[in-house]
Amino acid sequence: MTKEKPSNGHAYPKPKETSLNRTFLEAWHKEGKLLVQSCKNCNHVFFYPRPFCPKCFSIDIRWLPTNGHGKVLSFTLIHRPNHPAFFAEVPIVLAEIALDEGASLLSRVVGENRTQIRPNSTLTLVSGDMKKNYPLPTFKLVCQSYS
Amino acid sequence: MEQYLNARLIAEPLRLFDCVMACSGADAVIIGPTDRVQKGKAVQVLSGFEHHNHPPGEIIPLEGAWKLYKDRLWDLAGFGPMDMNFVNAYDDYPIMVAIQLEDLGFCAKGEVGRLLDEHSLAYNGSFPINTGGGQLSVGQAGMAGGLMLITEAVCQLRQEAGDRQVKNALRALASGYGMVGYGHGLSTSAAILAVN
Repeated sequence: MTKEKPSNGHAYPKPKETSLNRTFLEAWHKEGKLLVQSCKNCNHVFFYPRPFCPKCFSIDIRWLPTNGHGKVLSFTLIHRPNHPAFFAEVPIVLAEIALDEGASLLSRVVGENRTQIRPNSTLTLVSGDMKKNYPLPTFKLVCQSYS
Repeated sequence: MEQYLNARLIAEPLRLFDCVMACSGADAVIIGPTDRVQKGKAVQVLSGFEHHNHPPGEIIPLEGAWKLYKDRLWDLAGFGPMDMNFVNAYDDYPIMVAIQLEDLGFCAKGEVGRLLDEHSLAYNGSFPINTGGGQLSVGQAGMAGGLMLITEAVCQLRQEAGDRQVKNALRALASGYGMVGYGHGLSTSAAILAVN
């Protein structure tokens, strides 16, 4: 894994790679895809990577590629990050995102218009060259909604 | 108050003084038979519950497991929320105190704002909360942080709280929360304490 460097010279903290999350991390780094898991026994879709289904405890699970789209459940604007790599990029936007596939995750939202985020805003994974800037799946706003 | 409201933003809507400070410290209580303690100095646990990981898989929960055992907690103690002379609730951030008050039955879910508006919360107020200032005032001593709410309650019930003594402090609730991970609130707890 390469060390991504934001503008102020500090590298972003690197996710710890384990046998459980390796497939997930590689899918993001090599293909820009977000993988979640789904249970073959009860069809529950879940994130973060686990060795068994948190609902029925079956170990018969598989990786499920997502379409990269989701909606904002809740969010915060972080003005005082806990790592210097993020200082030059405040406010850092963190959102709880309900993916189209059903699982929800906490993820970063980037882009010039990021502070326009609202509950129910539609998000999509960053694409193209932006992908390689971020060590974990990262989203941007598609459009706004004020519901 | 102005200093509190105008403090710099940390993560919206939390400002500087909404965030607990890390500090060093330790707490201890001595547990033993009440008949070895002089009258008015023994504090009894009337009831106590603990529950792990509720609600499961919820990244940003607005409730905890207190609601699952609150009826048994009050029934077993033989008292209700309004019989408490003060409450010490776990306070890493103010919202956690609000959630505990709702889930433990001091008001209906979503109505904590009205409850807090109706009362003064200081040690000498109509509804004293976190009489020692709580962790938001003194800091959180790592994993020892939660027990401070018990030691403060014991101190009050023994009438040893000095300048911040709650008048007629006979019964109190102390509650805890912790080990919060991604989608897991590992532990919630609550105990009703009374001077013997």
